[in-house]
Amino acid sequence: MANGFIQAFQQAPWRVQIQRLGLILLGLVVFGSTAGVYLSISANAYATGVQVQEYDIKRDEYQREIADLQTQKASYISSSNMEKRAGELGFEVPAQEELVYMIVPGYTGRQLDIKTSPPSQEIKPSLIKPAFSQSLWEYLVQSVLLMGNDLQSGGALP
Amino acid sequence: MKNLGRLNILGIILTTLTGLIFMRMIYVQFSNGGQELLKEAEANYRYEHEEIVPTRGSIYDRWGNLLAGNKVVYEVGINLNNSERNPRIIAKYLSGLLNMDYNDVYDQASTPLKSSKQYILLADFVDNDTINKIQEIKEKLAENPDPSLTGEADGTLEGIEWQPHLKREYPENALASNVLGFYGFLDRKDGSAHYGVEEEYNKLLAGNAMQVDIPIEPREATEIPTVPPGDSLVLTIDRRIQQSVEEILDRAVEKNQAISGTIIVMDPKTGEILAMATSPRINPNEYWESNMVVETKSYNRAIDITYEPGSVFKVLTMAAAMDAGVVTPDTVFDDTGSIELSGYTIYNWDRSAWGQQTMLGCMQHSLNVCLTWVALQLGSTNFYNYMNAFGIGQYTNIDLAGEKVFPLSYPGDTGWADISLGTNSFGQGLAVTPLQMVQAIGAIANDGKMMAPHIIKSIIKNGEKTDFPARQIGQPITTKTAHDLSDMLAISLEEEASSALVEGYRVSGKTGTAEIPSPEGYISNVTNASFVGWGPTDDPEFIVYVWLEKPKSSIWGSVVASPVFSKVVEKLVVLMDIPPDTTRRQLLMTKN
Repeated sequence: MANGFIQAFQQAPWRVQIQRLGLILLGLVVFGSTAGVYLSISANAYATGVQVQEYDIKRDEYQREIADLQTQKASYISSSNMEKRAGELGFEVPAQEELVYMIVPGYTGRQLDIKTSPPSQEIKPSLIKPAFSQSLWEYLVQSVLLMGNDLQSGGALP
Repeated sequence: MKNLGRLNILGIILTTLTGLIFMRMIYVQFSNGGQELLKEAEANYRYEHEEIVPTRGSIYDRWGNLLAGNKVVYEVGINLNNSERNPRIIAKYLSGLLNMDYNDVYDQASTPLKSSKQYILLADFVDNDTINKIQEIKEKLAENPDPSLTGEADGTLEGIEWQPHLKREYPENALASNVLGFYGFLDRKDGSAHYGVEEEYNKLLAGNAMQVDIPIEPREATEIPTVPPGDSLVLTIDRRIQQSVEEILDRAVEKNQAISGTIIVMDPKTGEILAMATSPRINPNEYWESNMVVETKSYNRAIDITYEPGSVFKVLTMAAAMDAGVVTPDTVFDDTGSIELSGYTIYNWDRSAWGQQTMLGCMQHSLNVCLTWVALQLGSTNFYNYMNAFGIGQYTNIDLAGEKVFPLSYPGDTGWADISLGTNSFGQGLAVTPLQMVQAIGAIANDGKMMAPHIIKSIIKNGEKTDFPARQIGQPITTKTAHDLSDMLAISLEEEASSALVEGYRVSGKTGTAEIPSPEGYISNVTNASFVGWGPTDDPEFIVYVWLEKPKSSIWGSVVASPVFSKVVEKLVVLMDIPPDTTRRQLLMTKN
């Protein structure tokens, strides 16, 4: 009598089958959801990464364009061009005796006029942990490798 | 044992096989060979190794006008991977636009794809307008292909690609090219800077390239560091003064049929070079077209050619003698037209005797005999000590590449003889660059204080400007000597009614007409004609040095070089806002 209780009844076979099917379907749903979330995040990460690459290219383009435009502007206002334009507009270099000199209080004279780019900023370290940019497979491989190293060095299994 | 049945056995076998394959996969993944393969793949295919070269720094004049910058140009090439390319169409449309031979373009466009060759460079340094035209044609042909021949690809410009890059550009062309130097931009891989500021400050201008590993996989994309551009330079050169001086110099060289000319304008109080003009000079945008350096052995005659300066040197001899107290402006010398020294006879320029002359008269009439006597009174030790203090025969250390120097011979040196003291006193038997003379005589214009001539005013590094202060490098003479000599040389010009005079402004100066040494001795039918002057005499704001080499119209400095000085000063006083002397004194009184 102490050796066991025999179940007086058991579930109907069709119930057991439905339970098994349910478990299998649950497994599939969990797998599908995980895969779906993983794919969605990966897709977003890739899309963002592509944007970052595009912005890097754009930044290089803008730097080139800035240098080019500065040089173009310098060509337009070069001494020979300005002299030519001044001549066409009827300006003449004044003779020394035509000049009138006066002291203007507070005038400190002509100043250097250069527009320079703002200083380039240091790249701050990324706030994103490396684990967040790893693929699932890389994560699994790394975990297995770590486990292997632990075993070799005599560490206990978790 | 139950009979398993054939299907179950098959299932077990397949499951076992699958398990074995799976285990093998895991084994391969974690084996040493597998790990190494992964590392190799990562090294070769995970990252793209790139070198980011910073934009070359710009060069500005003292007011911020760009003298050297960078311009976008394009390289045009053919992607051989593109099997749709049509060599005939490519050659037809691009040969004209790129100024290339039709057959050359056709041959290049017909190159078959090889593993070692997937891209062909067709043309480089193509400007934006041409690229726009190519783009237009490409788009037009994409919509309406040019009729192609049988067996050809469609008549489009498929396979043609272009990439932008920067090239060095000098928007002012030849202006101040002797100061700037040039950058050999045609050699994109190993281009280097030559002469002038470009070479002297090449490391700063070039900046520091950075090696980066760029992840190919977008998921791993991170921000690529911004490489700061090369440092930019602000020169002491004033573009307007430089342009005016170059125009005056070019006209003078042409009018007097000289083989070359040099004009330097410096602020004696700071040593800042406001203009340094030479003729001939190149256009650095087309540096490869010029043979000037090969033909003339010089890029910037202001600093890389030494010559015997002649009578302009008498300014230094007289300064030394007055400072040492051996003569005063009123000391009288009896000029007999010649003087014997160590078995040689020294004559005046006209071989005549000028009688009783004060030191003022000696300078005014530029008497070699008198100056020889002055040097003898000074003595060789004192004379050469003063010349050393003036920096004669030494580098000025101007911040330009290519400075040359001819060492001064001192008593006891192999090249020195007793006669040297006499000849050196009037600027023969020694050699200097124009800049050395400006540096030395600048002391006389600046209360006896000698300032280091320099071209760089400021450096701009990563958006921050650092100024270079003026630097005094010596005080060879006292302030009183400097003032007395300046007065003497102003009176000398006034009494001669020199063509160097400028109405409304008192200037001091000295002409020079130097014979040129040759293996057969000195030749006197061609000369080096010079003039050095500074002003306003009571408060000098500029010193100007003019040198015309071998002028044919006249050999005399007073005829060819003095008027050039006057023209330069007439421009300078306007561009530098220097009022006439009387107006300046009135304004000062009003201000005080």
